[in-house]
Amino acid sequence: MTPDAVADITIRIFEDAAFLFTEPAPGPAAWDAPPVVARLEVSGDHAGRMELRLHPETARRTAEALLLPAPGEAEAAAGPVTAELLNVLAGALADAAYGPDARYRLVPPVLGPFEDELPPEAVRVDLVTLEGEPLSVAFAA
Amino acid sequence: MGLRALIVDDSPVTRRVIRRMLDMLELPIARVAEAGDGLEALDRAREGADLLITDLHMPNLDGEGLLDRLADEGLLRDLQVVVCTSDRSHARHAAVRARGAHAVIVKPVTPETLGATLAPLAARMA
Repeated sequence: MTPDAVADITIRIFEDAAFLFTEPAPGPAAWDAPPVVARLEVSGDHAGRMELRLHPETARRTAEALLLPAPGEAEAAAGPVTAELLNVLAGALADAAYGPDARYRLVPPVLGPFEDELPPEAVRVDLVTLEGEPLSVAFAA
Repeated sequence: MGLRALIVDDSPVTRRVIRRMLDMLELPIARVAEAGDGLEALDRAREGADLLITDLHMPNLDGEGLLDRLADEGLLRDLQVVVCTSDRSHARHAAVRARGAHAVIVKPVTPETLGATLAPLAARMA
């Protein structure tokens, strides 16, 4: 998949899933706080890996919007919300990369931090939220 | 008397989002229970449920396995099943329909999609 295709799908899915509005970033992501990181593996006929990095403030705000949590609860929900966003995105990316007739399984996402990196051949996309926070997606198909 | 709904997903986020949507939709649902995997869902379904909204990929017992177990125990006869999944594989959708699911919704689930799917099922059970 091309970076543009991954970006287009990510932008659309996050708008639909969480009213999270993003656009392509003008340059590489600049993190001013450790991101919330989730990864997911694809098994079956295709062995892929995907990673989503959200700014902690993006994750907290998205948790608030989706869950209407009690005061103070949004911080704790930031990780699970990031994982679920990746899960939803993964289905769309896998469908675009492998086709609707492929046989694969999306393994439930896990939360970082991680010590290793996705392989260098992974497609990496940097986006930015309307609030100016970085968001990145990587997909090794 | 309202319907008994059961939401099955290993993601507590998704369970909460769907529960919020059910609260928003004007459906005759009296009680909503939750389960985090297929095994827990099986226990809840034995206690009584009319509408099952389930994920596919879950630990312990996945959605397809849950449908098989419900069928084995004769619980599918009186249960309307909607699968909500991020898996877009046509083969998997066909497989769950063959196992007894009445509808498949691809995530992200929206109130509009969920309402349009559940309304005729709820009317059928009313």
